[in-house]
Amino acid sequence: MSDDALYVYGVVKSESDSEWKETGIEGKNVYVFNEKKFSALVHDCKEEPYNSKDLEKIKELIIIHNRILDRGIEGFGGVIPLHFNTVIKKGENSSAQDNLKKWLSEEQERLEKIWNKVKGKREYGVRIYYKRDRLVQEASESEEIKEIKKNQQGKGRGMSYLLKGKEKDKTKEIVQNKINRLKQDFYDDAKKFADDIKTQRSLIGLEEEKELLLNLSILTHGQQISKIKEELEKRMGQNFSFQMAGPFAPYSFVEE
Amino acid sequence: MKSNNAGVVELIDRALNKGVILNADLVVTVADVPLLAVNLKLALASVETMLKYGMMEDWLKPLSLNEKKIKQKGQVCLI
Repeated sequence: MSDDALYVYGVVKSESDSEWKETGIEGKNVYVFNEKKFSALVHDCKEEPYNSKDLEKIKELIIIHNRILDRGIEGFGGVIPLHFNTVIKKGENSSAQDNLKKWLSEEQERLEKIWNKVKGKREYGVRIYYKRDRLVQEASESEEIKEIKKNQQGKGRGMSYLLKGKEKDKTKEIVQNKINRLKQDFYDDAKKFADDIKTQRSLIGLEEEKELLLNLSILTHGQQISKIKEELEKRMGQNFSFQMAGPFAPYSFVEE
Repeated sequence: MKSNNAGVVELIDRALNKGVILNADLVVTVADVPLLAVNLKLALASVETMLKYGMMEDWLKPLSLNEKKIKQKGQVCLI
């Protein structure tokens, strides 16, 4: 099978076939394919998706995909990432190059809108976790719970049982209220310094997922991410923790 | 090491589920390809690959300077 298809990493704003070159997946030569105002970062490939039974190998491919996008940001001041494993095939009467040219030509307006949103920016992931045990402990020391406990003293077994139930429900309510309040606060803190922000539902779970409070994707430029980190650190205390990941190409912000 | 794995998961999550998607008639489909096998196992795998390709070095530098401070605060380190 010959290399008559095109693997597309992403799109940059460049009105000419620039000399930009990189080494991409499986050592392929990645180059710029121009059409009007935009250019795709591509390499020639066989008409089949990249795949492997070796998970490490797939991970490597994804990492290289992201590295090319990163080089695109450095070289062209931004990048519009495409989904991993985007391979443009030839048609009955058209080459893969014809098809890519047509797509770029037809999508100029949409690409312009996305470009204006993501140029010069990178994406970061922020996951905030809560420590339920600590929040429960804190709630149990609240005045409301102390009052319920006080009322249990000297009561018969039936009443004591009912008050135990009340204590449990109230603790749950206090914890949930605190979680909801802080969820909003953390979101607002991050939003102050972000160009855009999205709440994500991850399809790939982490060990700590069950106590995940917020999973955010943040679009930002320059050193703004450091400010977000500082704000979150101030609020964390002992009942919460957070992880930040990135920078990534702005995968989550490619809608118009 | 756990936090580095989190960074890999975050990247995979995005590359497989986000980004511009082209019309199906233009691209080779991946429906029959077991990419769904890319799951939590990946998160447990080594992160050396990521470092090997020089990813996220910018982020790692300031992190290493603040590592002690972050650990003292009991936070999970960044990638």
